[in-house]
Order: sequence, then structure tokens, then C-alpha cells
Amino acid sequence: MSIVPALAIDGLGHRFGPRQVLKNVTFSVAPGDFTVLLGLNGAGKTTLFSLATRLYAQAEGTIRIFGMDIRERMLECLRQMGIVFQHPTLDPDLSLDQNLFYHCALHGLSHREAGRRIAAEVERVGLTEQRRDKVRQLSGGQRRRVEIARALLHQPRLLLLDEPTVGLDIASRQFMLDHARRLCREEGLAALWATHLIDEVGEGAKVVVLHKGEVRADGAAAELLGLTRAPSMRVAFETLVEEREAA
Amino acid sequence: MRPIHYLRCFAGIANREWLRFLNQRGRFFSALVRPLVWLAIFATGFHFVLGVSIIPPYETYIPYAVYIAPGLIAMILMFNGMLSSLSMVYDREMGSMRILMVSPLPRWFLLSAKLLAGVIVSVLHRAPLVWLHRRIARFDLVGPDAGSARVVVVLGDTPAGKLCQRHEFCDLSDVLRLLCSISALARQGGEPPPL
Repeated sequence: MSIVPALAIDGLGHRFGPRQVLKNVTFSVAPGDFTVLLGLNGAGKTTLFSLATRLYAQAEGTIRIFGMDIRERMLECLRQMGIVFQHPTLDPDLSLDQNLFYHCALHGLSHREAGRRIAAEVERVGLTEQRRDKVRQLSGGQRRRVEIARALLHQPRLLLLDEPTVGLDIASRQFMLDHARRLCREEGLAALWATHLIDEVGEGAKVVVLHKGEVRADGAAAELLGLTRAPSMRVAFETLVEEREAA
Repeated sequence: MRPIHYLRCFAGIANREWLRFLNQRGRFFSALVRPLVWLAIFATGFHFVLGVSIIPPYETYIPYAVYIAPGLIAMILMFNGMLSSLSMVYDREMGSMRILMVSPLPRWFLLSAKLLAGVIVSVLHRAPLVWLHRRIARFDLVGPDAGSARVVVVLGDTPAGKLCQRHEFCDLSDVLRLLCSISALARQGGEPPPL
């Protein structure tokens, strides 16, 4: 493939003491791809994100961001990444604006440039009126929207979202999904969207099924349906997960 | 990443520490209360008992209220130091530490920036205490004003601190002296100990 993948994971393994949580995980995300990392709770999704963002030191395998090994060029890799963590990471005592300015400062943006980008991103997620509100006063859905806006402030080329829709109502979930898909389609961002909610796999998405630390399937949603001869994604997922358990 | 990026990052971290400090009014006052209680009650009580008489290296009688100035400043700095460490624990629990960790700057820099930001907040916090202390105990600071962001001179900018610096083991001997005085006070059942 001539295009350098935005994220290429090869033979990744990780263990917590004697427990192996990731085993030989290999897949890649191309620029412009919306890839769903599908797995149940405890499948190893968050561990994978922690390794990709260098919160955990990585032991086996390699992670490359646009061809750069994350161990060798960690800072450059981090610059290319926008991250929405599973757990909220906003400071509830600061206002929405202050949180976003803080993030911009951490990425070395000037105050003026930060102000411009914040105004644009906040408008895109429809929170312009709440800019001076404390994060504590925002609803769960609004906080998530702030986090996705924040992840885009330093104009990353790879977006990592770890269960970004947990605890959100249907409308907020749909907003987050549409927003991320639009970013991939219109701005050529690569996105890795981890979830355990099967219905978030939409048309044309790529799917990586992770189960008990192993990649069970990797391909377009339609391919997986064909492969398992399943009528729906839910059945396909169940088949893929159960297959080797029986064996 | 050029130096300007490092600078902006540091400014952002320091600004956040400052905002957090401003948001916690209770922290501001609780940190001030302890030294002020010490100053108001103990310093008044010990006024005739403890103080440094005119023996070398002291050139003049040092009243207790002036004598404890560096101690109180150190107390407020220590209190602030503990609170800024606690704020790091809070950051970790609340998850905002991750945002710091995935910033594209080296971790040694992020940690140093965080610590230095705490120091700056502490030094700024010290200023009102020094101001109050000067009003109450009526002494003048030597050298640049205490509100300036000089970090190392915790002890150096008060007369007592100056004297301490001149005499190498002064602080140690003074601690011993204080302990002796207190034990003597206890032994004699409240009568002032000989100085």
C-alpha cells in the first residue's frame, strides 16, 4: 500500500503481571478511515489506547503513527493525535474556555491562535453560549462534545476515541458519531472509535473486533457480514466472539 | 517544538494553577489563618519571654514577632507545597493529568513546569502574609520586596533571615534554644525561663 497508514499496530502485546491483556494485535487505520474497534468490556480496548498514547510503556510489538515509531518519536506522534479518553478529563472547576485554552497552551499554541480555533471548534459542536460556564454545570453530553472539540484544537490527523458515547442519550450519541464521521469524510482525518455498542458500526465503516486481547476480525462492515453469513452486525459479532471459545 | 512553545506551555500550566488557587478561596484563607494565629497569639504571649537579646551576631534586640517571620513564611510555603501536591493527586483522580501526559512536550518539562507553577503560586500567596506581618510586627524588609518572585530567598528577605544567613548554625542553635526554653517553661510551671 502506497499510503502511509495513520495508525499501524503490529504484533502488539501487553500484560499486567501474569495476565496477558493484549496478544499479537495487528491492524491499521488509513487516513480518512472511520474504524470502529469493537469489543466487550475488558477486551483490551482501553489498554490499547493507553499504549498508543504512551500512557503505558509498551513491551511487545510496534505502534507507528504516520510511519513514525511511537517509542522513538513519541512527541511528534503525540502531536498528530487527538484523543478523547473513556473517562472525563476536563477540569470541572474551570470554565469551558479555560479548559480549552489550557489544552492549547499544552500544545504550544499562541493565545490569539488558540482563541480563533476555540471559537471555531466550539461553534461546530454548538456550545458557543456555554463558553463561560463551569464544566461542572454542563451536562454529560455537552462535556463529551467539549472533549471532542478539544481533541481537534491542535489539528491532529489521527483521532482516537475511547468509548466516547458512554452514558449519552440517543441524540448526543448520534451527534458524536455524525461529527466524527464528518471529520473523516470531509477533512481526511483517520479515526479509531472504540465501543462495545454494535449499532455504532455504520455503513461503510471499517471494523476491528477485539476479544480477550486478540483481534478476531478486521475488515469493512459488509465484509464481516459476508464472512460470517450473518444477517446483522450483532449476529456477526456474536459469531466471531463465540467461534473460538467453542473451539 | 521551539522554546516559544515550551514557554507557552509553561504559561498555560502556571495560569491553570493560579485559576485553581483563585477558585479555592478556602485554601487561601486557611493557609493564612495558621501563621496569623501564631503571630497574634503566640507572638504576643511570648513577647517578653522569647526574643533574641543583643548578643553577636545580633546588633539590636529582636522581638519574637520579627524573629518568627521566616518560620511563618516557611510555614505558608510548606502548606502551599502540600496543597499543590494534593492538587496533582486530584488531577490524577479526575483524569486531567492525562491531558498533561499526552501533550507533545517532554515529560521532564511538564513535571518541572507543574512544580514551578506551584512555587510561583506559593510565593504570590506569601505576599499578603508578609504584608500583614510587617503591619503587625513593624519591621522593614531588607532587599527586594517580598512580593517579587524570588524563590530561593525564603529566609533571606527578613532581618532575622539575614542574621540567620550570617551565622551558619544559627537556625540549628535557635531551634535547640527554643526547645530548651519550652522544656524549661514546662519544668518551672509557667515561670519565664532565663534567657
